[in-house]
This record gives sequence, structure tokens and C-alpha cells, in this order.
Amino acid sequence: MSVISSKAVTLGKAEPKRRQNRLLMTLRGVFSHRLGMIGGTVIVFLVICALLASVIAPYSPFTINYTAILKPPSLEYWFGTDELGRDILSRILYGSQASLQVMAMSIAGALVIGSAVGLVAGYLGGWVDEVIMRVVDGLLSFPAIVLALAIVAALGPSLTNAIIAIAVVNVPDFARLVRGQVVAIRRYEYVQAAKAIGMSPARLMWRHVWPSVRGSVIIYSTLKAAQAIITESALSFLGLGVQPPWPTWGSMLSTAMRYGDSWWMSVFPGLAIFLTVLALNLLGDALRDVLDATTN
Amino acid sequence: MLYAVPAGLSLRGWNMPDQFNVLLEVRNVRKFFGVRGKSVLPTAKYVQAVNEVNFSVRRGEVFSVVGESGSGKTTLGQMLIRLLDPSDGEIMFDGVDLMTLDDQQMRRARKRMQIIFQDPYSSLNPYMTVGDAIGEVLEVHGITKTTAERDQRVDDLLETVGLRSATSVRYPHEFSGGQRQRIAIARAIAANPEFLVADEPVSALDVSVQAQILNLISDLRASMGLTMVFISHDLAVVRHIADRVAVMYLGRIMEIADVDEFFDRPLHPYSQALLSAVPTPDIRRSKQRQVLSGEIASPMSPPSGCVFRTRCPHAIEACAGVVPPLELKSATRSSACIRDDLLK
Repeated sequence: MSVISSKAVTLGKAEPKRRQNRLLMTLRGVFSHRLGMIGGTVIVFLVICALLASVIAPYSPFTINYTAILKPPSLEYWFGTDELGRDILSRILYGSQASLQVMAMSIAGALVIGSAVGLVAGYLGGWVDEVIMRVVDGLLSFPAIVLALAIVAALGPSLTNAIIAIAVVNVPDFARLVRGQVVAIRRYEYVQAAKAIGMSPARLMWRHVWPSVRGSVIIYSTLKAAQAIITESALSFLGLGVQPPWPTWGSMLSTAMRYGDSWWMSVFPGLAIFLTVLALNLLGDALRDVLDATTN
Repeated sequence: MLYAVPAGLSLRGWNMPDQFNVLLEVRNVRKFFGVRGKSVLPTAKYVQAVNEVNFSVRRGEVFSVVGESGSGKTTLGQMLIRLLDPSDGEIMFDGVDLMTLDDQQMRRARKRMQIIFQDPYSSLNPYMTVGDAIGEVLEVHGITKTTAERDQRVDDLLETVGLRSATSVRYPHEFSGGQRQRIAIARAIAANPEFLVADEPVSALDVSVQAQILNLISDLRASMGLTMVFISHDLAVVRHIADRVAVMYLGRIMEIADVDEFFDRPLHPYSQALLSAVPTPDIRRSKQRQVLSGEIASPMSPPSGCVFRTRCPHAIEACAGVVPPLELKSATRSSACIRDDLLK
């Protein structure tokens, strides 16, 4: 009894305001989440580094210096130098511009298109589902890299086209993930109840189906972000991505494979990728927790 | 005797179908679900969830559908507001066949009909505050124009169902089952519907809460003049709330009768068996308990003739021959049984 009444009292006072800005509430939630805070800070740090690369970088990322080839990390070159004597730290800083762009934009594109396609297929079902999912299966049957190569080859090599290609390659994965979940959620009574109210299918999908799916989509996209960097490096390696001498993390890694003894050439770009993906993961986790805090 | 009651005084006791008085008429409704076989070829296997169901619901009455699980009552309830499309037959709502409405017309018509689901844990979207869940109904039908107006109406609705208006900013998981069902009811009545399907609205709740929710439903029905189809397997609940009762077995209606008549003198052998299964504190009566043998037959291969014959203590050979039609046996009752000699 005392439990009930004390709960009633807490319910009574300090009522939150009726409609607070959802985005603001979510952000506040993420930053009061310890791991989310760490992830968020790292991401912000990386973005600042990318934006200020020309200011912070100790050397030009392009200047070839034959007197400092394959130097290990030292006070002069913190992260060492590559096979052409270029400073690796500077190249990582400049490389983050392209790498972060590729990661963010290709995954965002794949997420939006893939989720929309998956929602429609899963919710409407029937022949719409069949048609969409067969196309998706068709895309999935290509190895991702081959498909990306074909797309870039058709569009012409550039950063933008690499982003488009990586987005397209990832669409089927998101569509499959979302569709599978939607098919399960569609059976819930609250979806039926929403239909019974007389809601349009678009509104129903957005307000009643999507919120249950978005948690796993967010987590999945942080995993996909890492893959996007690797795919980009493969494209760059084949001369179809970012054009040299512009660095990207991926292309630095693939060059480093030829210089196995110079561990710093692969370790530092690798660490950059690792750090970014870890931060994204933490942020994604926090985001899911905050969005789900209302349910559990 | 019953005919002596002047029209308009009581809704009970009317049995002549009065076209002005009927809100919902169900005509020869069937629902078959295809069963996907292992074979590549389309199989002709179907589950007959609802078969040749006919009845009409008058304005203002509570029409109760009872039956065991698997009898098709939930499927029927969902078809009444077209959450499921019937495979065959017509569902006339206020004189209009719902199946003839296009998507947009149907969405508009949904303002007039609502449903309360059995499980208040799955019928509320966990990602939406209570206020948004209820307010959404008002928005969809353009009932309130401004946000302030909407919030005011949501608060009123919450108070109508016995919750504090401050609860509108909370999420469903913060409430008990009974409170959730109140929220679901507030949502169902938000657009001021005329017709409500209540699909076992209390069977998922604690016994202590059931009565409160039933009373709430009764009160709302009286104050809003609701017409209801109340689906239940709990005969005590039905006796409390219903005006008329329809008994379903394996997708077919066995008997329709006024509630008092049904409980005092059930006619159909299945109704009798159902009622005798209700526990009674009376020792003399409990002796007469009639236990049905076997399970409800598979809806994929229902028995020929009367679907109940495999478990009926009074079955004769002729029962396998024809499907007994639901026939008027008196002014206030219909029954589907060929053994008229029993039905006295």
C-alpha cells in the first residue's frame, strides 16, 4: 500500500512538460549516458580534426620527402612516415575528411532508402513485398565489392560516386533487416489498433512501426559504417575512389600491406578506423538505450 | 407476453428484425484462411475460421459472442470493423456493406466503429505517450484543431475512464494492466464512436480489476449510447453485460438468444454443455454437470453436417447429413439443431 501511495505522490509532482522537443530530449539523454558521452565526444573530436586538418596537421599530406622514407614514429614524425616520406599523422588528419564523409553519407543514404523500402515491403506484404524483396535478393547476390565497382565504373571515379556506390551496395542489407522486423511487428495489436483508428498507411508506418525498428537499425548502421570505410579503401586501391594523392584511411591501409615491416603505416590508420567505429558503436548503443528508455 | 411490451420501452425482447433499429447486420459471412502446404502447387487446404454466420445487432444493445478458443469469435470480431476482410458474405454497417467502401471511405468510417483488444500490454504502442496515443485519434479524424484543444480533450477522456489527466505524459509501461485497459478504452471512445467491438476486454486482467473495467464499459455504453459486440468466453461476464448472446462453435453460430432466456433455459445441446460447465456453488445442480468428451474438431477438416455432432450427447445419424440452419425457434431465440424434440 505504501509503495502504491508513494508512487502516486511522485507521479503527482514534477510533471514533465507536455511536449518537449524530442530531438533535444534525445540529445540530453545521450549525453547523460556515460558510454554515449564518450562515443559522442570522440566523434565530435574527430569531426573537429577533419575540419581543422589544414590547421593542425604538422606537415603537408602531399609533400614527398626522400630523406625521410619509412621513418618509424619519433618526436619529429609522431606516427612515422610512409614509403614516400609523407607524414602519416598529417595524412590521417586529411584522410579523415574523405573517410568520415564516405562513412556518414553512404550509411545515411543506405539507412534511409533501405529502411523505407523494408518498411513498405514488410508492412504492405503480398505482391509488393515479393517484387521488392526479389530485387533486393538480386542485389544481395552480387558480392558487395563487385557491385560497387560496377556502379563506380559506370558513373566514373570520384568521391561522390564512391559514396553513391557504397550506399547502393548497403541498401539491400538495411531493407532485409527492416523488413524482417516489420513483418514481426505488423502482427502486434497496437498496429491493428492504429489501423482500426483509420490512420493512413504512411502515418501508421512512421508512427507505429518505425519506432520499434529504429533501435536495431541504428546499431546495425554503426557496424556497417566500419565496412563502408573498408569498401571505400578497396575502391581507392583500384583507383575508383578518392583519387591519389588525396589520402583516405582505407587507401593508407591498403598501401601499408605492401610494407609489412613498417608496422606504423598500418597501425595508425587502423587505429583511426577502430576508434571511429568504436565511438559510433558507443553512440549507437546510447541512442538505442535512450530511445528505448521509454519502453523498459 | 413479450409482444405486449410497447415498442421503445425496452430493447430486450425485440426480435423482429427492424431495419431502422439494426446498426450492424452480418449476412452469410465466411472467413477461410489458406494453409500454406509444403508442396509447390497451391493446395486447397483451408481453415474455416468463420462459416455462414448471420446475425444482426440493434442500436444500443450489447450483443455477446461466446465460445471456446478456436471457435472463430475473434476472427468474427475483426471482420465486423474490417480489420480482416471476409472471404464471403456481407457486413452491413448502418445499411452500407463495408466491403464496398474504398480505402479512404473506410478510413473515414472507422471514426464510427472501434475495438478494444484483449491484451492491453500489446494493444498500446510502447513508444508513445498515453496522451499521444489518445490524441492521435483526434488528429487522424480532425476532431480537434489546435494542440491546446487536443490536450484538453485528452485530459477529459482520461478522466472519463477514471485516470488522472496528468498521466498523459507517461508511457504505457508505467501502468498496470487495468490502467492500460482504461487507456485503451479512452482511445477507443476518443472519436465518439457508435459501435464498439470488445474482444475479451477483461480476460487478460486480474479478477479484482475485471469488475471495475466491466463497470466502466457498462457506464460508457449507457452514457454514450454505444452499440457493442462483446466477445468473451467467460459466461459470468457475459451474463453481467450482455443483452443478447450468440454461441459459436467451430466457426458457426449454434444459438442466439436473449441473455436471461439463454442462461435460464439454453436450447442447443452445446449451449447446455457450456452452461453446465460453469462452476456452481449449488451441490444438487453440480451433479448434473455434463462433460463434453474430446476436443473441438479441427477447423481444417470439420465434421460433416452439424459441426458439433462429434461431441454432442444427443447426436443421431441424421446430424451427419445436413448442416442445421440457424432457425427462429421463438420470438427471441434462434438455434441451429435438427433435434427439435430436444429443444423444448
